[in-house]
Amino acid sequence: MATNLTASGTEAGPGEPVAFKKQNNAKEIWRRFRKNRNAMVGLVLFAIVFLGCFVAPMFIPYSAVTKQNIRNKFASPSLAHVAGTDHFGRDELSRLLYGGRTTMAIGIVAAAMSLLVGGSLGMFAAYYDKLDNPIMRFIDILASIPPILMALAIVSALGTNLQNVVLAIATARMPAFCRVIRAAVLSVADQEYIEAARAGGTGDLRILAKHVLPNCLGTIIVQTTMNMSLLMLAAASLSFIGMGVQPPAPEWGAMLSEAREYMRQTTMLMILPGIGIVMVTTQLNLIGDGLRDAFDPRLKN
Amino acid sequence: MGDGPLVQTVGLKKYFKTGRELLHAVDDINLSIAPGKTLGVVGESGCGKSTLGRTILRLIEPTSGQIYFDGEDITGFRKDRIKKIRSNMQIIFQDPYSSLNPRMSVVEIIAEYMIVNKTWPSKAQAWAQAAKLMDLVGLARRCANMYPHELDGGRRQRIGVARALSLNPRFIVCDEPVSALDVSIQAQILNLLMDLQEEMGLTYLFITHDLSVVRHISDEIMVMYLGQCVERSNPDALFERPLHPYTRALLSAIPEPDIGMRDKAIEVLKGEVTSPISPPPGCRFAPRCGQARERCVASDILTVEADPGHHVACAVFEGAGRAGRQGHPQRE
Amino acid sequence: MGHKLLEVKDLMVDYRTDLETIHAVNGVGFGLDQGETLGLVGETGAGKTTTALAIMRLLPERTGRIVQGDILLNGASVIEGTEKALQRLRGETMAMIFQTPMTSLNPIVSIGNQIAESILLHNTQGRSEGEIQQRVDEVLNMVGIPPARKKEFPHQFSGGMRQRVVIAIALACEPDLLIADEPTTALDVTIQAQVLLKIRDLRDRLGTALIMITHDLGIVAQTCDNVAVMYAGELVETGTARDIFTSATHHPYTRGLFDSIPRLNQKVRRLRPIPGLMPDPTDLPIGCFFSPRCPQARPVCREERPPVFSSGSQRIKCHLFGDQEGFAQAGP
Repeated sequence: MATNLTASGTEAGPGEPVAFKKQNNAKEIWRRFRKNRNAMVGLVLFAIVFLGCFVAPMFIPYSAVTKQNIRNKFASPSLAHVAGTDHFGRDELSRLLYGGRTTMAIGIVAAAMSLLVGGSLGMFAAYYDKLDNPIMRFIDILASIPPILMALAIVSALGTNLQNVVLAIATARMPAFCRVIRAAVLSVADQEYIEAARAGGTGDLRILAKHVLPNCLGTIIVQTTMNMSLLMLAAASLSFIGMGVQPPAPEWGAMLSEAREYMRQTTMLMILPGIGIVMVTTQLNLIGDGLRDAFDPRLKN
Repeated sequence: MGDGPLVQTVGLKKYFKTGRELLHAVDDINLSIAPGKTLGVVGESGCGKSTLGRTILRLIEPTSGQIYFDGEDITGFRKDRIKKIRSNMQIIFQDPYSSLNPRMSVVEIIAEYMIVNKTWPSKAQAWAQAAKLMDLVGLARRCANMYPHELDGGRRQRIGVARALSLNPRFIVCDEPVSALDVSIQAQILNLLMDLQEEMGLTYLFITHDLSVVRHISDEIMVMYLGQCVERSNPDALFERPLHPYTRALLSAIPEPDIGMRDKAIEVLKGEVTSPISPPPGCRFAPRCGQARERCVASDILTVEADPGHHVACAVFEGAGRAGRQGHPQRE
Repeated sequence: MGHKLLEVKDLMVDYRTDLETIHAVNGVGFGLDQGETLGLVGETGAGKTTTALAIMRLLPERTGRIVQGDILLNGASVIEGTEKALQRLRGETMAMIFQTPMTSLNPIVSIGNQIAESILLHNTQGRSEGEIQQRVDEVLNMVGIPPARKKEFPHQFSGGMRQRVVIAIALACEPDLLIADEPTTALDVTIQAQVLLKIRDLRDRLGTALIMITHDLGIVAQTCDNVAVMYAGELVETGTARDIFTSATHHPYTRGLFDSIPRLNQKVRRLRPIPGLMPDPTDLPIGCFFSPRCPQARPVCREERPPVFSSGSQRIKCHLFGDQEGFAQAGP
């Protein structure tokens, strides 16, 4: 019912000029996404937070983040310090913006790493029968260790710095990516068009790149968005227990942890980075949900 | 090369492992198709007809037996040589919905084989050729930039035909190409396939479960049951004088669009098609056959030529016809 | 008696989405007597299934809408009935068999329990547990499944057997009307013959009225008393099966349908398919819906909706019969 049936059945004659063009269905997906109110609210809010955290620091010198002024600690919001100051008298707003940048950057880079490694493993496991067992059993071993425990172990072994935090949480999240993408590739790999490609002499790499991956794109994008929020949460958690980003560098989880000590003096310092984490993760989840619905062909029409 | 059959198989077998047992999907099939002719393969689901077509194309590796294409044994060909013969042997799939990549436009799908095989020096030329193929199969050029989901089943199947023709093959396996289509569209595609055969001298292996379609299009028909060929003959002889009890049951089971035939006696078969997992010796149809005797399950049945050009594998005819191991099929 | 078992009057059904409105059924009217079998024939998208779903009031709630017309079951309107009253009707007075036996059974409930459930839901006679089980055995015997297998689950049955289970569930409460929506399309020919024979046999024994929805003219010829040919959501031709299959005059679409199918008993070189495609149900042509594909279309066909002309049992919705001898206008 959904296909466009044209009333004039007789096909037009040969030789009519035709311009070959590449159109994309991104427009169609965007149209469906736009109609989802929750997802749009998520997207707009996320865009604001994202731009704030990545653009604003360009205009605020990093020294504002680290410059201590003990005399002015726990200051209430004022014109000079819109969100007040922390226990060292540092400008809280600058720290929030810089901190958000770190948290989000960790989430995005870790998600990309996780996707690249876990996703490729999953794809090869699904496409090559012989690789399936070795790869998936290896992934099972990784998955048997609780993610946060594994991240902790990696960070303690390699040392606590930004790169290692990213590496740790990306590794811990890899099994999830691997499994989801394996499932997606498996469902595409037994479609007849894959066999048709093989019948035309298409090589494996081209089949994967041109026929398999484009048809898993929806799953990949949705999975990545959803996991990004989990990874940001993981980064914040690591920093919260002191195994992540180290002071004085700002990071929402680390800020939350520091502020915990001064909870009795001012709750503001705890609430602000907390709100940041909750907002960004919620927004990403809303966007992920919206994308999943937009990609789902069952909801077409 | 020359006047011999274009495609021939000798003792072709394909067994699949299912747990500890073997599923005899294709069991000792001998066939030969002359250039420009059509061999129809009929059978119910699970009889191994699709596996047979894919094995001949070497999309599935045969367990044993030989496949000859144009007099050359292609059974042992390695990857690079298979790639070359692929341009001579093509396949049209049953399902016009799952056999086309939903993320590629019509012209991209048709040009894909030519781009992969570097038939043309540039992509633009491949696309221009794709447009010509669209004319050939009766697809309007304005569909070129559409995506498969925007088209109906008949048009999609035309894309599949154009794609199969893009490398200029001599032999095409048609795997139930009209089963998923409505009757009026089905007739359009059947006519198209027959016209193309006439114009380009194509050779078809036409796989179907629909007996009326197979009679319409075939020069010779092979009836398969559980991986084996039970009867092989020209269409007229097969439909007027079916010899094997299975063929007879199959023919009588088709409801005919003729009110006069309403009360014709239908030989309703008992039971269901089982699967050929480690089958015992003897006739595989025996458990459902009304005329089964002890002989039928004692040992394997030989294929005999009961009438000239009419081969049957049934114990009833074993002594009657010109005997001969199924070995090399005669050609007309 | 006085009234017919089922009367469908000028039924119109739309599917509405935020993007478009699909006019699936456009003014269908027919009647069905106790014990009569009506064949509803047409291609994909003709509105056959939608008509059936409308009668069962099972149209998808969010999109499907009965725009116009009435459906009377035993003289009472189905359209005005409350959901509670409908639940009583479904199963007790009318039942439906769907196309895919694989998906219309619950995989984790034994087939005996699935049949028992449908009896329990309509337990007006106040049967006890033992009596219900007895009835389950009876129903299973009726469709030819040994009652010993009632503890088994759907996956342990083959396609044909599963379709019999579905039939058993549908007939458990002895409905007056059974709607079979392509009941054998997913089955092999020999299994189809078994299932059709069973349906015919049970219909004759229980006196159930039957609406057989199919695209296969063969099945219609073998099972139906009356035939209704659907095209683009309307009935283009109705009549007794004998008239439809033997009369020389037909609606051009019906004739096209007959010409499209390859016959077993006559060899034609080329089929004569109907050119073109079904019209877009979101944008139906002005005038006769078939006019863009009709070889005999006149100017009036593209401007005015055709009236219905009748001769004997045949009722044809086509302009061409206005000046045909023996045909009289019978409705708009």
